[in-house]
Amino acid sequence: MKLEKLLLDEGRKEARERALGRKLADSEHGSDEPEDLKLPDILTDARKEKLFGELMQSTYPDEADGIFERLGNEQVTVDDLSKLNSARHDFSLKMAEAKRLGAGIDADDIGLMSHHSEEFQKFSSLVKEDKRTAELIQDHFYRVVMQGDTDTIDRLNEAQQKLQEVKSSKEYKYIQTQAQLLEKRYGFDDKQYSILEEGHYTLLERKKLKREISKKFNSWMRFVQTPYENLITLGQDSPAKRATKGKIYEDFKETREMMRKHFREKGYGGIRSYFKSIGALATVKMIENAKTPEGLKQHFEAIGGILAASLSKDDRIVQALAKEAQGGPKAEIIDNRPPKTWADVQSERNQMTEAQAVGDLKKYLAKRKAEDPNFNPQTADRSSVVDEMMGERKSAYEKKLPTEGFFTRILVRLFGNFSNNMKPKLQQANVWT
Amino acid sequence: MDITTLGEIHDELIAQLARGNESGAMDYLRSRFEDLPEEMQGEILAELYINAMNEESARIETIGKIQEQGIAALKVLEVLKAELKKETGKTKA
Repeated sequence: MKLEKLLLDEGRKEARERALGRKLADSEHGSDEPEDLKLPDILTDARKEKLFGELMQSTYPDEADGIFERLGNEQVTVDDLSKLNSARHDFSLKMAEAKRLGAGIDADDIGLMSHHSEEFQKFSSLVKEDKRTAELIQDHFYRVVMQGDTDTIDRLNEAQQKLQEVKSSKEYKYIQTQAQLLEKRYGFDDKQYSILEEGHYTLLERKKLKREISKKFNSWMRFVQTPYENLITLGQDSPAKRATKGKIYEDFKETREMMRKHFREKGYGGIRSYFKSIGALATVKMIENAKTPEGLKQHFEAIGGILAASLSKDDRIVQALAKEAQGGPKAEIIDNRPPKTWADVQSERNQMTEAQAVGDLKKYLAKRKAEDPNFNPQTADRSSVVDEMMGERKSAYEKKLPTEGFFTRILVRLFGNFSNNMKPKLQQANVWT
Repeated sequence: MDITTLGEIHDELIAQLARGNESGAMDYLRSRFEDLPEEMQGEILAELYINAMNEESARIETIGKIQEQGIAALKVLEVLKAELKKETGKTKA
């Protein structure tokens, strides 16, 4: 059977090599290799069609448009078919790779990452639904695989791998164990637990909410918001405090109702349901506390203080502990290069204007003529000349930017978009004669 | 997307970054997010998503580190407590 399969595989490989007009690498043929997608399946799926078009454009920049036009008019040549076939095979491999990279990202992941990263949350909230955000991200990952952008693929792989590693660490498992404990003790499922977490305000969140609410009050009321608030108000809640409590109570409504319903269903009625809810909330608080760096710092400082005092006030230990306690998680800075680098780039401002691009083309044509007396702008292939000029312009621009980082990538992309949009205009510009 | 808008966004980003105002550049990018083509929106979100994953890993790691040290500190305390008990026992005897 094995021999039969081997022969079949070999036969298939040879047949495919003939169809593609090239040798297949070992990695391109084997049991793990994905099935080639069929052309009608690609062209009837909007996302696949777009990506396939992009792949064809990058593989056959001068011929892609013509091939698609002939395909539409049912006039494809044998050479067109061979190119389409080769690109289709390449596309299938890349789609499988992109699927592997982007498969893990869905609306839930977006929600989770938004919860952990403020910057990501700010941007993802601009898109109406998490599902749409996931689609936009997935599309980007599909595109980088199609374009063979190994840098982005590596960074994504690295980030995924790292997260996987830390999530399997014993410390992370401790938090997970606490969550499981909650589930075991009070029987909440993941969805209910997320309602619990959402409805629960941490100490920091309470403070933030109170600060925001206080802004709505006049200066006297704001003055009351001091550590001596209770003294000033003679133990009574200030209006801001009352409003904060009201908001928390209101926001907690859904959670409270869910908990009561849940415990009633579990057979706990009346006061027992109340105590069970308190117990569940205490565990939620414990998990929240363990999850926040501030909470951990507080615990650590307390332990460190006792420890330091127990060890004959050893200053080195106190210092070391204080340093550790203060070294809570720090958000990664997206671009940590000195601003001076960007100041150097500032000369690039106003580069992205139509007038500037036309002026550059004029200079480029003059340069080409000086280098090669046979070069004639009037008879030259305008599309190729513009492509070459824009390519040179882009690489000169990239050299001026810092070598890596979020904004570098965004600016390069902006420049690329600008170049693409300018190409037809430059081909029509009044500089060729 | 028209080239004037692209140029405008590019120039303002560079200006903010040249002033060393990275958060200002981020705010500006956010304010023009909907003006950008979908491909770029996806790229920005994907970059921030990768960044969020890295932040999350760093957060979990730091928390783990502090927890580990907290546990170590507690263990030392346990030893000290036992020593103290012994000492108290000896004094009493």
